[in-house]
Amino acid sequence: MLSSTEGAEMMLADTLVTTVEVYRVGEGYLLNCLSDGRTNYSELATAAAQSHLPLIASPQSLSSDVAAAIAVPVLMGSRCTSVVVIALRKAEADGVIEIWKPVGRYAEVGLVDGYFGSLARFQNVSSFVRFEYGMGLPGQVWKSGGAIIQDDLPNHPGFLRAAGASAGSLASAVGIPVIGEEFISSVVLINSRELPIASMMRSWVVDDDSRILVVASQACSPTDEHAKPLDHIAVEKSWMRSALKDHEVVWRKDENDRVSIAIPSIVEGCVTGILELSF
Amino acid sequence: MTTELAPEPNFLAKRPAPPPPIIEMRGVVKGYGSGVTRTEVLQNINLNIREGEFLAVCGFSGSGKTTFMQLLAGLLLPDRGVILMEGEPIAEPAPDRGLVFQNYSLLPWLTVRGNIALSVDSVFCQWSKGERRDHVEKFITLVGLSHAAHRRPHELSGGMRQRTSLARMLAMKPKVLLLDEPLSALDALTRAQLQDEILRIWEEERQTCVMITNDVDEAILVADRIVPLNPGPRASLGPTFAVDLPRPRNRTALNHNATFKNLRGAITNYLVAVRTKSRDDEAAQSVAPTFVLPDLRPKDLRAYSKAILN
Amino acid sequence: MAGYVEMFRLGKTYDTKNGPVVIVEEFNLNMSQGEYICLLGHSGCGKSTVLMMAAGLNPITTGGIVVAGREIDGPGPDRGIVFQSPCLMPWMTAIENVLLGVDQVYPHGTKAQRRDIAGYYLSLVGLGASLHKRASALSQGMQQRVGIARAFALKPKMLLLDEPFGMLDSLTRMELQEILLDILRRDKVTTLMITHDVDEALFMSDRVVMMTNGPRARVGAIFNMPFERPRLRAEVLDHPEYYDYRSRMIEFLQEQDHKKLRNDIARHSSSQPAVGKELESVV
Repeated sequence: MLSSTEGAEMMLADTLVTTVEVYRVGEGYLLNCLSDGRTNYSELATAAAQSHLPLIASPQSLSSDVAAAIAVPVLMGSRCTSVVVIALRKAEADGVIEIWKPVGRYAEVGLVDGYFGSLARFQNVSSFVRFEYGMGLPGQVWKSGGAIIQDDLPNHPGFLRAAGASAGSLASAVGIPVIGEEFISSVVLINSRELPIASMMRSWVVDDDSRILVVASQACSPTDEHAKPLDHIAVEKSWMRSALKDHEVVWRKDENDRVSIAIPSIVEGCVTGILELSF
Repeated sequence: MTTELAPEPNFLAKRPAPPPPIIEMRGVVKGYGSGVTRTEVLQNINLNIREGEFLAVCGFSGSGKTTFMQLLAGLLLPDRGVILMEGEPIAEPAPDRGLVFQNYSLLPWLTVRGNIALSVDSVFCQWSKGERRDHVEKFITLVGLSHAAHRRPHELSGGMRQRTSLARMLAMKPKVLLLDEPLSALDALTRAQLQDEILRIWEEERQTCVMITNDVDEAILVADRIVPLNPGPRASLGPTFAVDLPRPRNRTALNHNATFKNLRGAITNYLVAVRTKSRDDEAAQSVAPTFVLPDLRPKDLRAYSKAILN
Repeated sequence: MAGYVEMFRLGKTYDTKNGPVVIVEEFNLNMSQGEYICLLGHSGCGKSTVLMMAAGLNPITTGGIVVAGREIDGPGPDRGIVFQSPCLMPWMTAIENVLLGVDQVYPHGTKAQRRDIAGYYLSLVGLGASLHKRASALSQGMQQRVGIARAFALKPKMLLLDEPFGMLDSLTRMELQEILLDILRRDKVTTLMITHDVDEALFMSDRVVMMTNGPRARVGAIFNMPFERPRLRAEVLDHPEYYDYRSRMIEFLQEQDHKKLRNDIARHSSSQPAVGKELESVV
């Protein structure tokens, strides 16, 4: 375990996500922290790196201001390259974390674990729901092999549970695939109206020939001046390069102390897309 | 510079292939009229119907339930999208998809036996007379109408007529049974008895069965999966609910089953919420006048002796 | 303590050629003002008889009914009734149907005031955009909404509902239950409702009165509902005691069923031995 290099102050103020920690995975699952040096969740991250599964922290292990935390491994075939841990703030406006995995003999995913806060009814609905390959957010993430962001959930045709599941309070969602040698799971984060998940979320798709990133879906906080929507404009983001090159999660803090991460989706050894989150 | 997106990965290739669906609905859209007067009844319906499953489609009246069923039966064709049965597009009604309606369409001048025999004779015309007769009797017995086989429809109760329709359809040995609110015209007690009957027969034969219903309890009792049909106009399918309750199912025992209670709550809450949302959307668009209630009391009633009935 | 509505030793006997038949006997029930009570029982258990006596449409044989301090003596607009079928004038529009009653009860109001009353209650039931549609052009559920608006527009002291949602499919029924509770939240009218739907009784009532099977029907059991108001269906369904109450009520109904079956067997045992036949004729 690495020591903290800077004061572990709350760095993400106006978003549902209160902390992100990024780890590079070395030989023998030795984790090397790439973020601020805060390593509150290194045990969770290690477990995720070893199991190749997204894992939700047990409630007892969390500090009093954190509602829930999830560790998502990034895999390159049979090797785990890095782990990102995302912790949700304890707030009146609840967030949701879900883990969907293939179940049964048909090509469909079911809910295997999750955090739902006070949204017990949404949880109850979700626990009975199955999404076939390509259906609903978890099924689309599976089919596309990349992260998908959905905005305006109550009216989003692709978010099948929206209309029914206490639609009024749900705002946007991001689905993140966990893919090893084959599809393992879809991780879904959902925020309710008051707090955005991040001030900017953008899912990029890699164009095979030109190594250019194209925006596939995005959601921005309306109050965020730093993040301007870029509609399907191909741009190069130099800081995200090591996500492409080294197949691992990138963490950076810019001159304004603004934290961003880039999570690559890797299919058969190639990065097919990047999920960029700014806080 | 924007170029084409990366080709989609095929994640299903590495898994053991799932059994192919018996019916596939892909991007199905159906509406009526054209131009400005066009109303879309169903939009973007995607559904796989699995071989041997009992699927319940649960929705409100006026949400395009009947259109949905007629599409599956081949009585209507989609405006956009495709419906495949065993890989082939459904183009017209066929005996391999048997449809039972809410209103029994029995021929009034034929007996129970005659109505069933008519269908059997037309579908199995290559069989011998004796084979066909035995086949008819088997299905009369299956639905418990042996004692009434000689009666004509007008001499039957609603439940018995619906049993006859059911026997007639089952006797044609369709690959897929389509039940369009078959029980909603019946009283509660008869309905419960016929639910049990349908369930018993289905559990023997395990034919693929799609049933439309507006009753959550009925759906949970019979189905493997339940798909809500969100209220129209422009009705769409909601997420699929898995009914993970052991069979054979018994309605009394289910009342004490925790999974049943939670599932019942989940589907009911889902349906109530979609309906509320569609009403709210409707209200937001409507320009209905608003009324202020005047401060007026009814006149002294003692002057009145006549009832005002509602 | 005297109730707002009191039913005291209520009884109903019909004279037949085989002698008197007692349908309801010793039926006692006090309702406080604004209370919502469901009478739950199988068809033919005499619950409709009780309601029709309260409406003043069926003469009372013994005992009496007092509403707001006055013993009822025949029908009157102080008691609004909604039946299973809404009985609208099919050639009239929704608002004309409501005005039929409103014009009679508010002769002292202006025409504009009477229209406002009718329009207000039709808006409350969600028909604000369909005021001028003919009743015959409305769906069954919408017609029943007109019936509810009409009943409330007369500002009755008591509302009598005879299986008002019995003809509707279960999802439409849920919607109308919510609309009715919503109006009752504004106009707290004392309500007696007949139903055979256990979930409906649970969702709507303050108290559920279970009747024993007729003949000689009487109050068999009373359940106080623990759910808070205003009620949200999701919250009621999630209430930890919901399914306890539900199964106790279903058990009560099943017990009554068995009793009826035993009586029937006893009655038929000399001539007709087959019980199966009895059941079959129902289907």
